[in-house]
Amino acid sequence: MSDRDTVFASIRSALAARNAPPSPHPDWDTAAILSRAAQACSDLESLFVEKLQASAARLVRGWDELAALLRAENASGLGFADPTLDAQHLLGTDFEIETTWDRSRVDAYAFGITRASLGIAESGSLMLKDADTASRLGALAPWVHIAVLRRRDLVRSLSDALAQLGDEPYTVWVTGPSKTGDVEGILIQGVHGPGIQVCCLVD
Amino acid sequence: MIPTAQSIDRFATTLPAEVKATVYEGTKVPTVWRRDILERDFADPDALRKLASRIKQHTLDHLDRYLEQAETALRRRGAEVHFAKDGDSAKAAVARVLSEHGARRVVKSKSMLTEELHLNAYLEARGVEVVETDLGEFIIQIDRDVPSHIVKPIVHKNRRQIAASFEREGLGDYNEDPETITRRARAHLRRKYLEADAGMTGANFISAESGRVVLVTNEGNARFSVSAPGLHIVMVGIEKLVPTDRDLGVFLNLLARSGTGQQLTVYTQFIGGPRPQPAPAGQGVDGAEKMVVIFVDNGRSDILGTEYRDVLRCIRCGACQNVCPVYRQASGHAYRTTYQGPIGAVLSPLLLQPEFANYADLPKASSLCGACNEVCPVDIPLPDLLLRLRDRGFRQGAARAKAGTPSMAPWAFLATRPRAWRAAMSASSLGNALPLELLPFPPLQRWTQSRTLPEFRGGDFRSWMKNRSPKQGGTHE
Repeated sequence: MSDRDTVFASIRSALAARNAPPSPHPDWDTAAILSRAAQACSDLESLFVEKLQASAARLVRGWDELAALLRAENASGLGFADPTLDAQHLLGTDFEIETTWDRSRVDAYAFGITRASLGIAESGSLMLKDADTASRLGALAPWVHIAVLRRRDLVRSLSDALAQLGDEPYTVWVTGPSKTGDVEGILIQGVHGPGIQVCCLVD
Repeated sequence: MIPTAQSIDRFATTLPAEVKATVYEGTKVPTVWRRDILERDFADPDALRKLASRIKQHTLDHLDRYLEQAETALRRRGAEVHFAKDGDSAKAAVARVLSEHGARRVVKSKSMLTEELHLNAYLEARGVEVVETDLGEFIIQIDRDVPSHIVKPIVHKNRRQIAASFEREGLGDYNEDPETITRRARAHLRRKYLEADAGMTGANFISAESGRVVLVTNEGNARFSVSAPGLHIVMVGIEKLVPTDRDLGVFLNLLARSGTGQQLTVYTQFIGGPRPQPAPAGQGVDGAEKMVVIFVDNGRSDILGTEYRDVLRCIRCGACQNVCPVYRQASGHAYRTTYQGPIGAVLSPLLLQPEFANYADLPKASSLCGACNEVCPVDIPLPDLLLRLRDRGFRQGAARAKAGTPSMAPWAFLATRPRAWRAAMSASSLGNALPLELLPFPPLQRWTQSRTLPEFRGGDFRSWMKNRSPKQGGTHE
């Protein structure tokens, strides 16, 4: 008997031996898992911004503000950017932008700019789908990651975002910079992923 | 101090004060954060965990159907699916997959299942380089230690011990600054991701409907593990399913809040299959192009048919460990098994079935205060399960179940003989005049070490009842 057959036979005999009737799938209402803040919110953008900042991610509105933030963080050297974003033009000549990710120089990039597929107002999360992400490593390895989010791509809740997963092979919700509390519970940002997570909100 | 017979108690008494303080702080803080964030965000947090409990119980009640559905969905999305009936079979399956792909270097993201299987030692013995990438697990690995908590594997270590380990491993001079420790791990492990042939992760959930593997992490190591190497291996227990993507919302709202007091962890990954090859236009080329999912039983289906089945709802958040007064005093290593605290005291003896007697003392490591059930996001009746396991240990005559427990025989003798009971009750008032703690009866001595007995007023109820008329509900005629 294969392991598969053994496992299924064992599960089926366990379920057959049970004396209680199997429980039905509870018919639950999406409102049951909507947070108070998301229920009360009339303006998705203000909730998104509040939650994004609570997650320790940074918000910039437009490319000028982004350029200023990168200069302030001494990240004005080489960066990687999604080729469809025209980042070199929008950021200016202070910055050197490559639009093809070169994994052999993974630590050469000071920042990575990719597109966000959605923003989740309830949690301040940025949803990155493979289909919209020029490079998974480009969005992960540099110290600063910038997700460019269009205002119209904001959704209210986790449930709304789950409904948009589609057929995508890989999606990640990013809620703040990479962090750990493993050493005595002390919060340290930037463990393996970005130490600075930025959302660049555009029209 | 009076010696105690329970090994967990003995472990707790020998625990250095420093470790005890670290564990206490490390568990108290998330317990408070958990309560605060649930109360802030939901009008009725209790209803939410009851809902999660019902969804999970329903899934387990139809586990064959959902497992088949997940298998079909994963295959449709291009993943390879294997089943392993036990630990040996699971380890052999991993070795086979690695050798088929010529993979010699593996980066691992935190997985309790692989701890349960002792997979690292098995692979290392076969010449595979295995590197743990979660900071806590990395420290556990270089120290040849074992995790002491489901979510915070090094809750028992402080920064000085960690700094000494890093120095010993050639990761820089002694430096106990947590930020420096973290940066050094970042630089060291980044090379490992890029050189690795395979990334291995666990799974927090798998949606049966879509086959999507859900991983929640804070550090970003699980993102690297599925983005840098070409092969992604998922090790998952058969009980980790939920029916639909929509149902995931219930659990994602509870998992991080319960475990660490976060609304969501930093990264919530949904892995729906290997990256298509060649990559569609406009998309990068990184990401595993091959995905293998190994569903592991290892004793779970044996629990499914028993009165302990509720324990399979567990989503490994660690809230019961954080809140448990015994865990806080004794620390995780006192439990001698992969899973510790209240959940471990139930799960470990069941998963280690053939050696049940060796772990029959674990269910006794509880005051039955009920806090573990109150914080459980899937409402597992842990105190009830602990009581049933105590009974089982006693019935099986396990020495570890009986160690340190005073015999109940004198009580049983009295309680089943009304005449003797009455006599004993009347005589008990003598206790008020006697210093009971001086009686040469060790269990009583231990008990009275930190407690004082209330004044005994036995017999009063009996005479009071006797003097009431039948009309008043008394026995007086």
